[in-house]
Amino acid sequence: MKPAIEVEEISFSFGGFRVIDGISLSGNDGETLGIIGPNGSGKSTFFDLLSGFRTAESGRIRLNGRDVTRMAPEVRASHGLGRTFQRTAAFYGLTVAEHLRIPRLARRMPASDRVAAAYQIVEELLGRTGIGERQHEPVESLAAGECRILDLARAITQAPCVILLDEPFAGIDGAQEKAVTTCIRQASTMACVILVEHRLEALLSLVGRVLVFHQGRVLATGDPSEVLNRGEVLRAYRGELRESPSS
Amino acid sequence: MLLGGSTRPWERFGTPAVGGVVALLAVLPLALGDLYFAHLVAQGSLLLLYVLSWDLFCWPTRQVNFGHTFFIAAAAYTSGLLDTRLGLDPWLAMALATVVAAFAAVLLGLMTLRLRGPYFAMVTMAFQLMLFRFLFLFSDLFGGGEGVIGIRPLVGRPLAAATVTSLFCLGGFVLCVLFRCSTPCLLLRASGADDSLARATGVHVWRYRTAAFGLSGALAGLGGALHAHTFRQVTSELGGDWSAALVVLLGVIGAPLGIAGVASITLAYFAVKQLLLPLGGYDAPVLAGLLLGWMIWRTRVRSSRQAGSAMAKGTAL
Repeated sequence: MKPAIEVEEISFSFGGFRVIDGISLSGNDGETLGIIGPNGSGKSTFFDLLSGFRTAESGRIRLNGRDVTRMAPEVRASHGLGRTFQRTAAFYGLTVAEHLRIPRLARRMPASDRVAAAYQIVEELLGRTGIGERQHEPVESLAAGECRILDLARAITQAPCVILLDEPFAGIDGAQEKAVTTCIRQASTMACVILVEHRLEALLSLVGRVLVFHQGRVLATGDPSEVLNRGEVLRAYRGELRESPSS
Repeated sequence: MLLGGSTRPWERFGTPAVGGVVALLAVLPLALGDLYFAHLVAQGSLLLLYVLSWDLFCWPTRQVNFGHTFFIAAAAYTSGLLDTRLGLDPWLAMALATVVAAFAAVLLGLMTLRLRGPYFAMVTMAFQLMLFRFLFLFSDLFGGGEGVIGIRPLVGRPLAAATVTSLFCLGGFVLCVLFRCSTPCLLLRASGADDSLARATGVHVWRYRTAAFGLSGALAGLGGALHAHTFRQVTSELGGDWSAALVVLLGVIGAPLGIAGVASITLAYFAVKQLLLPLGGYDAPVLAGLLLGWMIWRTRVRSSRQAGSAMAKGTAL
């Protein structure tokens, strides 16, 4: 079986400064991967490269075996890539219900078991967080945390095979965190989920594998409990590791 | 839902009400047999079509297009010249002129695909200012400042011709209402709210944007061509700077109240302008005063609503 996502040695620079340096990754359906690293280590840029908002200078990105390296974000979305953003992103001016209709209308998705399963997950998430009762309200009436949950719901309604979640727990309270955790667990049964998150306890409860980014490279990868005890990882987080080990 | 899920009473009931008024105005001159009134209604209806066609692209995408009157003038001149110089049937000339305007709009849409906010506004303004002067004002082909005269009407009787124009404008109004309820409009609204998010969701923003720009240009062009054949002349005034500013002004003021708001504001402006005609040149300060009063009132209503919303969310300081 082909991996849901395959990244081969991708690199990217900002004005000569290499922010992503030969990163490789592979994720299968049903797998949840976590990406951690200090600020500026290239996590969000990596997500931008995967979703097509930036184009890799070298390397390859494949979705279900299809090369999408040069494809635009909307085309990657139609090939099964969903993502959320680090910032609070929402379609302000639309109602909650309209917001959630956009993926289906944009991609003209036919009814399928996969789509039905995605909608079931979203319905449960919205029910648990109380957003479901506010479907006819404009998005701007939601609090920032609720907007993040709505963004997560929007990404799942795309019924993607790969979901990139950029700090899904930022700005949400305890009860909402539980609902989001359950939702991500459910989503990972139908897709490969890749998470960037600073709240380690929330991340560790979800992921089976973690990658630690440092200065645009993968510093360590493997089982979360083992990786987080490595000396170089702790030093990178404390800001004591100035250069990546290979340089 | 008819109005794209709108729950605002003003939009739900205002749109059919305004549509009814426009329809009544279109047929009333024919019933009364008054040519002056018919021309007045046609003039008001055409202004409505210009503003609605501007709103068709600008409202969902949240952009301000200052180049809209170029499409109007381009179609008016094209239709006029095809009729007077080549002797083409007025209906055919009008159809071709509409296509020319749509084509110009698609070109401008492609040129400004990646531009947003003030950059989009500036480029469209430059487009209008530059092409309007080079093509319509300084070129002999377009008759310079005097324009093109002696254009044949669409139908023989002047009263019927004016009514045909008003009915076309009513059709334009219905088209704009239907567009607002459509899926492409919803997807454009999504891209207008957050371009990156829309693209990440799978919305082909450039396709919808270019198509909507083309449709907006075609409707504006239809209005321009109708103007040429109704008033049997085209002058540079039609595509001038004041017309460009007026369309933007009416569109921006009416947009928060939905399509019914845009139509009401435009028709109200036209009616007030006619009432102020006896003041001669002094109508401008009166209109400016009314505009200022409206803006202050809107700002107050808006800030009190925002304060209420913040109190409800518990985020007020």
